[in-house]
Amino acid sequence: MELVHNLGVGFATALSLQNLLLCFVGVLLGTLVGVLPGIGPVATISMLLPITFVMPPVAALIMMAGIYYGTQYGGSTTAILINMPGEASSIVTALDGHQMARQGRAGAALATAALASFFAGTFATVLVAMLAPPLTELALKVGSPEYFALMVLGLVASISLAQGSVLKALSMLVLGVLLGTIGQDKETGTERFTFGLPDLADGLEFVAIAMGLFGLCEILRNLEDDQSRSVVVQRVGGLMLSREEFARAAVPALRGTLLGSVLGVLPGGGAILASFAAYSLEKRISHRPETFGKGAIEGVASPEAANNAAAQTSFIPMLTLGIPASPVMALMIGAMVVQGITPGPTVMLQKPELFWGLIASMWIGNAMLLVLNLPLVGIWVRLLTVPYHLLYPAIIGFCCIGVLSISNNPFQVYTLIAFGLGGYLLMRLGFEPAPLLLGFVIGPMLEENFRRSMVLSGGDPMIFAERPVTAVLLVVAGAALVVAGLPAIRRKRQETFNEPG
Amino acid sequence: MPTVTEVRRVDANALASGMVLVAFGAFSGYAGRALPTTVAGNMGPGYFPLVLAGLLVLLGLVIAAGSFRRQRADAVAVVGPGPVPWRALVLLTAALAWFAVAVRPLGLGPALTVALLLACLASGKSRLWSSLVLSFGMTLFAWAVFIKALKLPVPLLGPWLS
Repeated sequence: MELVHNLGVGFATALSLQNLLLCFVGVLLGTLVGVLPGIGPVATISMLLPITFVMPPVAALIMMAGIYYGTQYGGSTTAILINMPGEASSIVTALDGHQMARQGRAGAALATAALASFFAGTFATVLVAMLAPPLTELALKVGSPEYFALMVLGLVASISLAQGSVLKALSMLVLGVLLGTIGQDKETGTERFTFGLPDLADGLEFVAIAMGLFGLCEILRNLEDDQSRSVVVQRVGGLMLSREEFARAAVPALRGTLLGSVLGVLPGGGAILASFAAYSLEKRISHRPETFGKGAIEGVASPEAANNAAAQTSFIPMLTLGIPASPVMALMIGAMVVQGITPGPTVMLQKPELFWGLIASMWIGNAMLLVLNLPLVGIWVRLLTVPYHLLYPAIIGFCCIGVLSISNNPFQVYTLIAFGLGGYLLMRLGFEPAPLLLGFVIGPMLEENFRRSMVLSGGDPMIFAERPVTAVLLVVAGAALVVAGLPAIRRKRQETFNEPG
Repeated sequence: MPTVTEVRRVDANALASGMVLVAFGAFSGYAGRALPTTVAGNMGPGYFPLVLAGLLVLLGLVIAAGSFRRQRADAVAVVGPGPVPWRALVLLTAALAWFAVAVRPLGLGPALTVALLLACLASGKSRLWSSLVLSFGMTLFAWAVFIKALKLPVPLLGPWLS
């Protein structure tokens, strides 16, 4: 019973007083951020990242993970009660969840969302625990050319599954990888694109980039419309589900869990795609599709289960391969690197208490969220009355201190400004910031493995075509890109995203 | 079914997007021109950046070329984002730049308080008292948490003031 032993190690770590406390702080902050529109998990985690440098690695990762899945819960609360999704992954929850709230069943909708999420979270945690060891073993046997191909596939998948123009997403990816080459070249020590600035010798600081793109840029976007929104909060009412409601929600929650678990592993798919896909699926196979959009409980249970399951399983590629599937995972990889841990398959073998502790903490955190969200929902709702013009200066303040404390160097503030303004320009032109950050984090690994492969083959690029695994991975990546770019598929993809709305 | 005429209309957004990418790629290629692409028969430090810069130029050209495609006359213009928030752009940049410049000589206290006040001005809805309370309150909080508890090596009042 390897699994039981491993989980035992994990729970022993996660149940220490410090880790329990930080897990609680994480999910609490996550819920808060999820409830508040205009600030997301990426900005929050990057602002808090410098604080985590003083913590032990496992504690830091437990807290960051808590923030991430905590936002999935918090986002659905506002979606149901005020029809304003706190996070993109709860957009579909608003459709039927808010209708239920208007029919006086807000409590039931919240309970459905929380219970479905908890069930999905539990299932996905076990799944991660079961899949991680064999995948890690596989990853250890992988050579540089395969690693390179795997990363290319991961990056390509992340843009073919995302929303918006594939060409523009690909451009952001390339730009991110290019920005990742700034600084001293690892192998020859040559300075690249430093323009004589000693501050650039170690490369750009990715925390400053993340804060610029997801903090400052997001504030500018919100201040485009400097009007106050009036908030009408629906009464919560009883939290108990009727027997009939429970029966209608149970199977869709299970389907959502399975669908979300699969989509979460794919890079870029993540929680947003999972919730949209789960909603479309339920609507298509339902006996009463006409009730969807009018308060169907299935339309709450399935996407909520899916987005939470996907949030958990997106840890799989990060933990086993060291390849981030989303900007949040990229931040966690960055945190590991700062703590002196090389992300990848060796983490599980060399630091089992970190690996299993993180997994065990996810289940504990999900249980905490259930308690935090249901009885305390009234407190969260009251937070919505905090006006944005009091919120954004605080975000700016946290960015200032956070970015300064990375290396106590004011230069990082300039990086933040540059990426905030540049990111805003790109955003207005229709580019998404997420692929840039992913490219920036994966870029150096990509180059290193490419160069190693070329040394291996004596400079012959055919090595990628001759190795069967590498060739297959690269062909799949190319095909995914072409298919995603085809006009017919693009329209279909757009429909999947737009359909519920 | 009514016939739909096609018109030539330049998609300004796609054109601008493409040009930004081309400019960035070309600049990177130029800035990295001195980096060797091969060292002793192996890939040099200039190889990877050069490939990426080339890719970026190529992608930019493809996107820009797409802006000249014929479009259906009845194609609905994509709803653009809101008006450019000039006030916020200027004041938030000023707030952050002030912080970067002032934090070493003046210390965290004056740097953060003034930065927060500037940031508050970015929204037309901020009020004097709430902005003052927020700025001083948050600086106090930062002092307690970051300087006292987390021992961030930054003084509250810098060398110019003490």
